[in-house]
Amino acid sequence: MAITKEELDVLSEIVNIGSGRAAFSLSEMTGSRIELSVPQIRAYDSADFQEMAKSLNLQIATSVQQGFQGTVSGQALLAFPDSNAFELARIVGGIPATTEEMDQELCGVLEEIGNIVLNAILGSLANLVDCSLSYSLPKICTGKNLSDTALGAGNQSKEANSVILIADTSIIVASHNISGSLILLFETGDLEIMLSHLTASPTS
Amino acid sequence: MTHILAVDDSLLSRRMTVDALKSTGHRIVEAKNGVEALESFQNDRPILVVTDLLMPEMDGQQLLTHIRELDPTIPVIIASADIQQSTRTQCDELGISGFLSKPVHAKELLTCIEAALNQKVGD
Repeated sequence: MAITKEELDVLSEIVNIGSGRAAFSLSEMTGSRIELSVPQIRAYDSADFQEMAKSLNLQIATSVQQGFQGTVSGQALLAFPDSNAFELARIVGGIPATTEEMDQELCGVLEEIGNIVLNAILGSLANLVDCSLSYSLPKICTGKNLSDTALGAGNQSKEANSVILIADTSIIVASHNISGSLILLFETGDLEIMLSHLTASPTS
Repeated sequence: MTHILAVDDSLLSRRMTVDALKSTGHRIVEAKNGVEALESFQNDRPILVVTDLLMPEMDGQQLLTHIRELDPTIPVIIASADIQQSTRTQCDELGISGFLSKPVHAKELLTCIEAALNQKVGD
């Protein structure tokens, strides 16, 4: 499936709006200013994505993954490199850095952070497209690289030819260089439905 | 002593709710999901319920449906990360006293609870 530049621009704006909402939420939770980069939206089919991920050697230490179903369906991930996830969970949860292990409490905090951030973006999209989504419980995945994580999520899709849409948004917590990436995976047919709604309606 | 029932599978969110409600003087009873909450509700009726929506075992909308069968007027406030308008509409149809987006401000929650306790659902 080919996505036009106009469609990518529209998707970028949707993610931008949702990211802003997510940044506000994170700011409230951390008590810190949150800086966001402009989302970089790229669409890949499974084969192209695997090659791209390998060439960039992207590594995700920890991600929060949430499925969504409805008019459109797929998987959304909030991914962190290195120990950023631990640090963000400690800041939000007020948990002292006494252990390097991802204990149950830290996992719970990170799941909730992912829940809020991913809901912000998916909910914004649903409101703009005027559709209704239901969500799976967020879950944490650790120790996988980007291609395995996203394609693992893609293996849960109903169809083989999923389009992998990557929205890279860097989230920076002031005074802590914590960065994360947002990954959205849509099923091909659903993405076409969503794009037809988006390009038919004004986004401003 | 009257109590408020706080329902959320997230320990972080339950803790934030409890911290926010300390100043109210009400006892706070916590539940991790809709099943626990419903059992608690049936055993010891609270004066108000604050609940998340997406939870394991039984979600918030299912919980609200069961609560309404037992008590059509008890105030129920939703505190959820789900910002969809369709979700808000579904909850409104079941009868709620407020719909707050996570993360919830302590002041916002307190204001919502005060308004809810001063006005029963259906009035």
